[in-house]
Amino acid sequence: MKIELSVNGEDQVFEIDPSEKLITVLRREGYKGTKIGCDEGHCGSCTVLLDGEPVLGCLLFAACADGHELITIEGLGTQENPHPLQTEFVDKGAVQCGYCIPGMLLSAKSLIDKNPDPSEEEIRRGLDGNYCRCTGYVKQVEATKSAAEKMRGDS
Amino acid sequence: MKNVKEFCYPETIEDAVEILAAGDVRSAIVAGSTDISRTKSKAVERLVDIKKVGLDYIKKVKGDLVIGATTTMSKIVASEEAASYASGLVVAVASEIGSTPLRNMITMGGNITQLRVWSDMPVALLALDARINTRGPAGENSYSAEELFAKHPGQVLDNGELVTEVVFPAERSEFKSAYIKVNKTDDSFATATVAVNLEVVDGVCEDARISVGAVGPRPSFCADASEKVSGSNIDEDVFVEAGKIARESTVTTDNVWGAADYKSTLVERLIPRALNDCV
Repeated sequence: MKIELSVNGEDQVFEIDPSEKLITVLRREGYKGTKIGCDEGHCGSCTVLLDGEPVLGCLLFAACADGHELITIEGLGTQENPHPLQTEFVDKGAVQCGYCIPGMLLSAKSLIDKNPDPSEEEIRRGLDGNYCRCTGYVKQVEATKSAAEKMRGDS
Repeated sequence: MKNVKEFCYPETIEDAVEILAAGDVRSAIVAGSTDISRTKSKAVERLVDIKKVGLDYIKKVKGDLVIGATTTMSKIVASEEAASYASGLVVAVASEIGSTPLRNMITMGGNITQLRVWSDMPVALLALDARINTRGPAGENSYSAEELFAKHPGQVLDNGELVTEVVFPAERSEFKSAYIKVNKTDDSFATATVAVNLEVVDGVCEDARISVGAVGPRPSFCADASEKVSGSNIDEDVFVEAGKIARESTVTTDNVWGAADYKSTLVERLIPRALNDCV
């Protein structure tokens, strides 16, 4: 079957199997920034934004994305022009192995888009569902807070 | 889900019911996609996405809180209508389900029909005496929460019978509620859940409903413990006694989130704690 959707602002048509998961299709189509971690809905490394909200690509049938807007990590920023979240994650040392970071950044983006001045508790809730086995989360919370400040123009 | 050949998107409830009830191949409902997509069924040949049939709503109807079957947990958490009902019990339960991305996917209908040992939302339905409305080939039907969870909902609902909405009754809207969930970490499935809903009139607890979940094969309404509390004064001894009664009447089973005896102790201890939170 075919699905029509927008990925990172570009209209796409993908040929899929009706029972395929979104993560499988995205990676096959070249969006390899999105990672497969636990593959059963716990770790968050497959997180993408569906109509602006974080969802898990390992659980969502690709067919469910038909007619929707997706954002993957490839849609956040580039090497030359990184998103403020990406800059802050690097500057604050929030990235070690990096496997969880695509999901973590997209969750953070979704949060800041809706709530430009999140409290620490709101950030922890916003990043909830993204497991990082390297850092212990403190730096990612700090980086999200400071990116939000930069995006508001406070510093 | 190896043998799925078709994925369809009905746009009305009638179309969805017709497709689900058609006997040609085995169909399965998709809403949030969190549970069904992990099912390793070889029998299912058609997936039916019901997100477009118009069941995404939260509304107050004559004091009832009515939540459509495809409404996500995140929408419930953000809902003022839900927060103002029964001191926010439904919101309290929804906000502790899964993680943020999972709450963006998990739906009201899915969390009750795809019943698992750890399912959270059923305790809210039991404590609030909710009704579950359905539409099937035989027309509309309605179940009390106790009827729906007396067995696995899959055994109660007919083939092709679709849960359309959950109705939390107006009578309990102004009652106080409390919810306690015990789980090993924030993201773990529940070891035990307790929900309480009651009215306090002149220092007397009226019409109490106590329910427990995650401790046994199915969530349950604690009828005897609820009866013990109903009509009693706000009294710690009565609350402790209700916990003991519920411990006796609740079947608990071992699983990776806790041993049966530990869960029985949780039931006994959490019920007085939830009752105290309520009064």
